[in-house]
Amino acid sequence: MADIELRNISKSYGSTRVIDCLNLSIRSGEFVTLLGPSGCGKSTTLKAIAGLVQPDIGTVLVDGKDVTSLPVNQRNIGMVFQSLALFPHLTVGENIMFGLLRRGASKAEAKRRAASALDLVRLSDFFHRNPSQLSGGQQQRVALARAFVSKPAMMLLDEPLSALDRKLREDMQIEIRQLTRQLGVTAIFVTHDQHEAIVMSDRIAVMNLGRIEQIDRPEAIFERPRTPFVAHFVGVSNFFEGYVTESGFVEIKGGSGSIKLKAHGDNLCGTNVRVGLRPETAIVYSEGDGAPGDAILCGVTDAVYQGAQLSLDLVPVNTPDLCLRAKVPTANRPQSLGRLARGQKVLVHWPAESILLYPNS
Amino acid sequence: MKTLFLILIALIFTFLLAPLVIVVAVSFGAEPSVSFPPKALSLHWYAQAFELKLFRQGLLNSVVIGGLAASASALLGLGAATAIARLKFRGRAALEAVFLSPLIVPGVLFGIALLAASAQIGLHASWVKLVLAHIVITLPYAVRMILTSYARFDTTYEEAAATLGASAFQTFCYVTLPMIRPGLIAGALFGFVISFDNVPVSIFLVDADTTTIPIAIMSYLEYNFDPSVAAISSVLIVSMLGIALALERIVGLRKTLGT
Repeated sequence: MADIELRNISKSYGSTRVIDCLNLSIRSGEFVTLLGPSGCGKSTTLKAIAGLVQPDIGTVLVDGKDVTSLPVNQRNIGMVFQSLALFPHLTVGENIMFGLLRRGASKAEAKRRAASALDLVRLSDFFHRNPSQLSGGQQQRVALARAFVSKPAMMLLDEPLSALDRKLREDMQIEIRQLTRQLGVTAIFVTHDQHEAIVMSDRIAVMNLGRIEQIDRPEAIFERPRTPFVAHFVGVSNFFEGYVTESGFVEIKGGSGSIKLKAHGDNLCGTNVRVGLRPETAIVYSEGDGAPGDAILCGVTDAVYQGAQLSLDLVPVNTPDLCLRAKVPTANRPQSLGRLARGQKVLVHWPAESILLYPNS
Repeated sequence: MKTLFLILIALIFTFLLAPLVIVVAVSFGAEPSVSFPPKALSLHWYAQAFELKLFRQGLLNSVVIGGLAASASALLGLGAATAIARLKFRGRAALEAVFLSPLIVPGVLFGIALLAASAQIGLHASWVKLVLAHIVITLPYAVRMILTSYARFDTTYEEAAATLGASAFQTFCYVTLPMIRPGLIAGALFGFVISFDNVPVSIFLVDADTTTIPIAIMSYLEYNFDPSVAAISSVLIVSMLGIALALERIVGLRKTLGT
């Protein structure tokens, strides 16, 4: 277990600044995910913590001690790579024993601990196999066992699940989460998948252009994204330029009119803002079904069935140059809504507390 | 179109391989002179060939010189290729060119140069000159093969080893070396073949005791033309085929040739 702190870390490759004056502090035993698009610096940040990348400036502290220039092999870490990097010339057991032997364990001791680590990931029978004889999910678990077998102070996981198919990935997410909890180890996980981040993390750090845009609990990131970038990254797809009126409405202007929505924007009164509307928080009513006063009358231009939900492209009747996307659950939908097919007229409403407002900078 | 192409390929291979088939066929003949096809089969000329000290000694010399040169150039090549592939220093490309340059210097020129140089520095031991010369001509193959292995090697394995507590030296011994071993072995085998086959350089350096097998065959042919030459040649053809198969098994011949 270890506290980890990054202070003013910067790293450039040539003229590209990959990490830009980044600060991050992680408590002992915490599971933190670095989330962001490719090229945002999340993997480089992880490698800086591991010591595989030397930051140009800044300090890496573990339990308050400066480890910035400590060689990788003298740090007490367990790392799982995107490619897993299981040694192909060694058996599964030898792969797991590798770290123990390098750190001075006797052969018998290494063997015993490797076997019990394999037990923990339910692969006891695979000790003498070659990694290439294992399925993707099994290789994944071997890589995990190899990383945690020497009881590292921290586990660093660099998009380890990206090669797995969806079902297996979801199982592994839970397995990794349980394992790190069970071991009580500090874990830093890198991914570009928002769902993965939300499911697994105590806290998520959303990264963009080498900086952390927001670091918070998953529900806060999802429900109250602090910047349009974070909002966009966690699935808010409707963005408009708007104006907050004195009466607590936000007005979005279209070519031939405007739509008005009730919003909580008291501190932004009289200013131009960017408005973010999450498709999933929309509530769709049929005409004359008692919709709130600020619901918008729209025509359905496209309806895509996505299994658990139905994705609707809606065009407001009075401002046809705007396009809104709403997602409604397929199950438990009021009868009156009908099939929600193309050409149908509906009323769409976003509750005031779900409307995201960002001051224009 | 495809059929035509296949026929063309078949013709080319026939043209290339037919002489070898004839040599092997002749070697099993019982006649006292070279004749094709042989009228009766026998192993007489194999026995004859191995009775000749010239061939026995030549074969032994070639195996020893080839073995020494190939092992030495594999080791030197490992060092050179590791430096070129892993260290960042000025003139890396130039160094690589230097190591590969014996490929483009004509063997005859190199042979004469070595003869002159060794006379200058008073190096007279023929076998030392031969081994040194063969190290130089086999080194490019070793460097090339090992560099190819490095190019294919994912450095994440070394990062993984470091995170597991391995020092740079341990990482090299336990991870890098085992994973580039196919290139190392292929380089050594290739070097052995190149050394075994060499005439233009060796011919300037051999003496009566250090005659290599290709030179022994050439000098025998000057005064004799009997099927014992075919017999010893057949032995060489089969050995080289064996090495080619070994290369194919270890790394795949296509990869070995870098295509």
